[in-house]
Amino acid sequence: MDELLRIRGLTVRFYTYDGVVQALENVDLDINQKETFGLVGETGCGKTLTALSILRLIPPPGRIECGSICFNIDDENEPVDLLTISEDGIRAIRGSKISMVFQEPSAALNPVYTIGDQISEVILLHRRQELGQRALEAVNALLAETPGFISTLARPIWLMERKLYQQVIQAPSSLWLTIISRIFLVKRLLWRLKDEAQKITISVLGEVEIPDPQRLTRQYPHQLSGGMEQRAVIAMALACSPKFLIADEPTTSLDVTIQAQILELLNRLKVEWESSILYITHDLGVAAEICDRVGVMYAGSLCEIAKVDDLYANPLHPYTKALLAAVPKLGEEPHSIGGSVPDPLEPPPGCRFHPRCSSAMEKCREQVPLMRELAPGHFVACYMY
Amino acid sequence: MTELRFWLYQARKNPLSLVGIAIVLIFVIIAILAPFLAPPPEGHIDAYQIPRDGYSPTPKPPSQEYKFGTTQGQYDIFYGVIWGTRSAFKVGLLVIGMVLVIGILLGSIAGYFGGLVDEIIMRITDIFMAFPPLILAMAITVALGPSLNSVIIALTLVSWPIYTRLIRGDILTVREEDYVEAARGVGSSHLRIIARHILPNSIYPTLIMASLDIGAVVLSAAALSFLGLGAPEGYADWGQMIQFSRNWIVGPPGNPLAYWYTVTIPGLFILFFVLGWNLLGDAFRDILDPRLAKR
Repeated sequence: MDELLRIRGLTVRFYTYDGVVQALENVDLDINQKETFGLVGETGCGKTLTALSILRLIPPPGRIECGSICFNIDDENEPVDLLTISEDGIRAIRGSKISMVFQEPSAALNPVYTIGDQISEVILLHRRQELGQRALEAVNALLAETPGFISTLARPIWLMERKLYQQVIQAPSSLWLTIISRIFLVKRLLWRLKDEAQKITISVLGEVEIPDPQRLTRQYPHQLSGGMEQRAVIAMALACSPKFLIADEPTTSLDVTIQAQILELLNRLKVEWESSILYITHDLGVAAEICDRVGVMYAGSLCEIAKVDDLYANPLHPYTKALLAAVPKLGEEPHSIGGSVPDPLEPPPGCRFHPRCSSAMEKCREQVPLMRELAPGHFVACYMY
Repeated sequence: MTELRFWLYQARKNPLSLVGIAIVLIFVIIAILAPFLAPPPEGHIDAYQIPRDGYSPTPKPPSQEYKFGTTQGQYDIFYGVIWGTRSAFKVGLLVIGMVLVIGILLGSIAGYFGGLVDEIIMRITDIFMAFPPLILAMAITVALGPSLNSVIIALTLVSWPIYTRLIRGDILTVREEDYVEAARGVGSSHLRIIARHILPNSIYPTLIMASLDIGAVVLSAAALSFLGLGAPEGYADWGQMIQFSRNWIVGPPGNPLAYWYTVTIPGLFILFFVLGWNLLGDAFRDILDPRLAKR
């Protein structure tokens, strides 16, 4: 299987007044084409930070210290390192090649714009050339077809529009066009771009199974239910058919029936759009439902990666075992994991899980265990094996 | 269309805001129609210069020719207050306009980027805010030489720090919202994020304060004029009209209200102007803020 994303040695630190927080230590991760990779772990273990690092959105005072994130944009070109390309380069990738669905859909939508405006914005930002092409076709059709009186009146305007849209197709970000699109009245000549973006928006909203997408484009976020909002957010993420979708706990704030619908939707879209998904969750049940492979994180590093069936049938890392035991079952007392999550300011030396591990050895206190492949596709970072 | 209906609905719900809108509208009409309400006499060079009827220091009561009477130095009160409306709008709108531009620019830079830039801009606002505003405005006007333009510059320099801080504070809260992160996540540039996602969500308190402040600015300008630091003598300006009447607040013994028109008429104009803008500010709050009660 082809690799889509390869993270090597990713280390993120936060320089706070209290000291250096070692948020991520040496994260190694591969994500293949057309697969769903699940990232599970407790709150604060670095799942979301891993996702934000991929988009280079770590908020200050956080810094990506070292590592590389190689991303295969398409099959013809060499993979690029997302951590070293320019600010403009990463901005062009965000939203068009890699996009993200946030945990709280009601917070991820801007309250002062309609859903249609917000989704069109993404399309206008990244698919200008395509919009120009569609607009040009519309103008050409008008020029060719409309007969008689109206056509003689409007013809000069249409000809001007055609010139502009040809420009848009040739050089969508040229200085000249930027100036034109700022001038009052003149920018009205470019209205067809918005119109076409609106049409694409409606079709994308239809893709995410929203009834009556036409009406939804005119609604504000607060007029929607949680499930609808999350669909709109997913539509926004999918608006430019990205190759890689990061879903950061997209169903956590939804109730169970909606959750099932959203999971089904993501599964269907993944197959249809041939993209990969990085699915972040703390719910092992959801991960089992949707993922092909799962990585378990603890205190800023990965401790086990395996195919989903492997992981649940045969967990190897003591932390994974404890996590699976802690899943609540009907009629049983829940098992909690003894001890608490280590202080990220002063993480324990050696394996970070050793203070809570029942089978910790002398070696665990001194050295950090490395990832090793025990069975094909099953990686564990533990000295027990 | 539905927006407009919603606005009208909001305005009807709060009759005081309608009063505010009406008062400000009346003043706008007065300012626009000034040349017709109080036509400058033949051969008058500067229309803002109040025509005078002789040089006698004693005010004359309202008459056929001078509807509101004349004040000290025989300046026509009617002409003064009508053309003074234009000066009031000029001062209020110019000062608030400039303050908004400076405040939005510096406030969003400080709030959005944070760090050292924020620190520098905020310390400069601290320096300005360390002085009592009216005293600082007086000092600046004196330094620039008394005139209406100096008053405008002085009041701008005194008020921008408050606006910068207000906008910065609102931007700081909105900056952390998820939708800003989401906008960054779809590849928007800094400028686009500030202009399209942060400002529309954080500008309302500032706009409301601006409309409340137009009245306050006119009041401060009147205070400066009253102290003799504003417009040159004879210039149509409400503050100056009140200055003229300073010696005539109380009339001669036995008839204390003899010169009531010299104080009361310009005073009423200032009062209603400030009241109108204050009520309008409240109306703006009800109408503009989409987060308020739009269900």
